[in-house]
Amino acid sequence: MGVTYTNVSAPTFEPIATYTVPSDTANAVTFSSIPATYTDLFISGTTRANRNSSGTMDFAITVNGNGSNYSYMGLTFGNNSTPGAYRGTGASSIPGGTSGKPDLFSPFNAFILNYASATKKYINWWCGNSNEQGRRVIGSWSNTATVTSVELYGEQGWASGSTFTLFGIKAA
Amino acid sequence: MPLITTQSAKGYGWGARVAAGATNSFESIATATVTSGGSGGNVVFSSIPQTYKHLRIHILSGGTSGFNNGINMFINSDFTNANYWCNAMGTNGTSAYDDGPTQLPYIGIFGGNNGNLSSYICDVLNYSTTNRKKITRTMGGYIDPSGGYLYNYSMAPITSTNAITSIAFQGGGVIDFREDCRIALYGIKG
Repeated sequence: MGVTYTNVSAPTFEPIATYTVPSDTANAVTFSSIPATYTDLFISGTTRANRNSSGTMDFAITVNGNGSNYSYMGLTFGNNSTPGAYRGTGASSIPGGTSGKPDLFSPFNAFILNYASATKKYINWWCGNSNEQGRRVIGSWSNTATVTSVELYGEQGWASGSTFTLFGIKAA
Repeated sequence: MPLITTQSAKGYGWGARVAAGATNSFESIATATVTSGGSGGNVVFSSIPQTYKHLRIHILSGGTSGFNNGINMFINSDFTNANYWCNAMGTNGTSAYDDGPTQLPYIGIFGGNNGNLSSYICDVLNYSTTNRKKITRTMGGYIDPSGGYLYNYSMAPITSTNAITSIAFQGGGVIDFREDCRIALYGIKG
């Protein structure tokens, strides 16, 4: 019984890959062949879904191209309305939100904890529509496989100029 | 409930690789990993170097019972009642709630149980300054098949402007941290 403490002082936050959508597309953005040499992953960017409509658009995350065994819980707030909530288990993805093409680009960032370990994976996600609604989302993927790819789905794809950057974080 | 798109991810959107290690402004300070048999109670980061602007903590925690097990976070071994103010916004997945400010003797968040860890990202801002009260912000929660909680927390120790040199985590109630819990402390340079 006990706790093992490991100490180190070294650079631990490293960019792995970055991508800017060159033109409107109906496809997802995928980071693949992710090295398993980090402890956690961090993804950030600014996005607009490729749908010519205002309001909060679909934005979903999956890993390893897998469409099952996700659980999630989301908090919605802003838009001069009462905060809301949603949750799901046994889902095909973890759903968040972004803006559509008429609205501002919306920032997001997501942590994927324990992605390289043989345990359940955990996701902490900030997202939403800059013009309308913020969201906080937690999720998990009940699978012990190492995460080697992350798929980011926008509603009807992604608008030109959407950016995505993947970082690796090393714990001591 | 948002719909899930069905576009294929295959063969598209590979990111261009960029040079790694171009910055060292985010550094790992220490990681506590709970070993077989549980933690025996507490996880403590002490003698935290004062060379960073902010601290970040990645928390994966759960207890040994089937219930959600709270985590109490203490700064500089301060257990004084009402020395921490809590402002929270959260949900159980069905409805949202807004709570606070509540004065507590610790920063309290929900941990996971023996089947589901909780995950949190916690920032401790301006931890090394001595001219202001300290602010933490924490987001995370846990999910199990029958429920769970998501927290979006903001809170501050209110009576001290001391630099933060230690942060302790204690399993709430009667539990300790189960095996495979991990709490990682990072420093962010300004």
